[in-house]
Amino acid sequence: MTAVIFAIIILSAVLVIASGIWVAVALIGAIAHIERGPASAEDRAPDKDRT
Amino acid sequence: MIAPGGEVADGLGNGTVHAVLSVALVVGYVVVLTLVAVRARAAREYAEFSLARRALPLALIFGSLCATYVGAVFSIGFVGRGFQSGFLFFFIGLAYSLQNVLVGILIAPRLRALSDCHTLGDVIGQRYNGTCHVLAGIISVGLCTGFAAVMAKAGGVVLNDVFGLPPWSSVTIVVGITTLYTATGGLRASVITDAFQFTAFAILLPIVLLVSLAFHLEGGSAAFMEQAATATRDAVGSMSCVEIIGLLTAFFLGETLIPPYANRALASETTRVARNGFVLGGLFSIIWFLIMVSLGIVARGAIAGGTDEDRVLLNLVKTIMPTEGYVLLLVVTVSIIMSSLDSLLNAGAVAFTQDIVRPLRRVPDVAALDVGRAATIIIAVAAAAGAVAVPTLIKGLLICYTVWAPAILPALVLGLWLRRPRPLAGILSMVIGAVVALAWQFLWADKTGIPAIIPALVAALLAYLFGHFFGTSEGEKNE
Repeated sequence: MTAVIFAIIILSAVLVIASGIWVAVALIGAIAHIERGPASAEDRAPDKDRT
Repeated sequence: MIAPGGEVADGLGNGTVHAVLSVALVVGYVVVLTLVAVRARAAREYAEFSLARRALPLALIFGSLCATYVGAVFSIGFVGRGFQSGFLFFFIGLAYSLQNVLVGILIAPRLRALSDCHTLGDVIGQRYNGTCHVLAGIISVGLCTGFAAVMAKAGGVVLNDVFGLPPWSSVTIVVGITTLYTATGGLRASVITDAFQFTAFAILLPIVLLVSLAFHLEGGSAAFMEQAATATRDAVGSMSCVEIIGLLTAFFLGETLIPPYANRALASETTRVARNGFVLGGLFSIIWFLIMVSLGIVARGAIAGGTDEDRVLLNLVKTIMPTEGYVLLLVVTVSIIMSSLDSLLNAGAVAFTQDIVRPLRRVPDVAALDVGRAATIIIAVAAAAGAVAVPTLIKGLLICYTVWAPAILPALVLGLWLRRPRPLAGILSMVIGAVVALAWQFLWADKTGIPAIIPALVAALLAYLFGHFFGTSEGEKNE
């Protein structure tokens, strides 16, 4: 039981670090997107429920 | 903590090198944060300032949402709670996680699907009428200012502890820097800096846990579990059933769809992004709470037993990490607070512009952008001034939670789900929910031991039912 709880805690820590890296990569992409200048045609499409 | 004046040098030992490295870390972090904020660019249109053109992708919605809710309480506070009460607050925190997942499945996509909505006030205005819109705006602005005051106080406390600055200047620095990029860049700058700050703390704090488990766990995993079991058992035994129900209710409803969260749902790229962002945010909170509480349990074997619970995390890091790691963690702590503060300032400013100014007088988008920027500054000044009046962080947050859930949630949730919601129901539930919450909190909560959120929610729901059965909907009036 102790080993299982320990494994869950360590796995959680690894998952949180992975989340941080995922958001960092997305952030770099978002900044690059902003730096490319005006929004693309797709971004300028009328606001709609794009489900 | 690093005390004002001389103890820094003591802690560093022979430490000029450590001091230089520490300063370099702080300066480096501030420079990178500034670069990120500058890259986000100034908002040129009101739609950019308020909703970032409703084009935010999943990773940014997720990171920003998590950075907003992981404030001082869900980091420093939860480590302290783990230290005092083992896994108890992990289980109580699950109520918050469940709430986020439910909001993601049931409400966020419905919010995103509404067109021409910048705020919750807009949503309530669309479903009820203009009076409800303004009322929701006043409550939103008041709540954002209150929450921002609590965050300003938290930031001030950390800076005051680290650098020994007077409280007023600590608060001014934290609020000033945050206001600068929020007023300039609006929601997009807030979300992008949140994502950066999320990255910093989501990587660094788990590393602290892994280091402490690997190298500083006295007695190994068996001792850890024994400490956890003892602390949890003692904490559960010392609390009444009503107290636990009150806490579960506060965690389940207290922060539900507060303005910064609602803004992120509305600013999502699609309804699917809105849903997934909240669901992932809720799931993330489970593992986050587990890590924070585990850090607190590890600290039981590493630092003095009587340590004040708000200082457990910093004392633990000071004990087990090199000086540079400690300084970096302090910076990250301020970052955690700023990421919540910027979201609150932006949400309050947008609510002021969209829910209070615009329903009362016609304001074109260009002027609305200026009003939004001015409102950001005014709310920041009010929050900085209010920070002095905040009794304690937890108490301040609980007052905000207590007002928000009864005042807004019945009107918002029922308004989204009912076919023809009645304005009288919305007005009565908002006014009575807010009044009962404040009156109970300040007059009867201590005497009765019943948390104000419970009677206030009951009163708001009853008032809603009364208004629903005796009022008429806007459509019925027109017929």
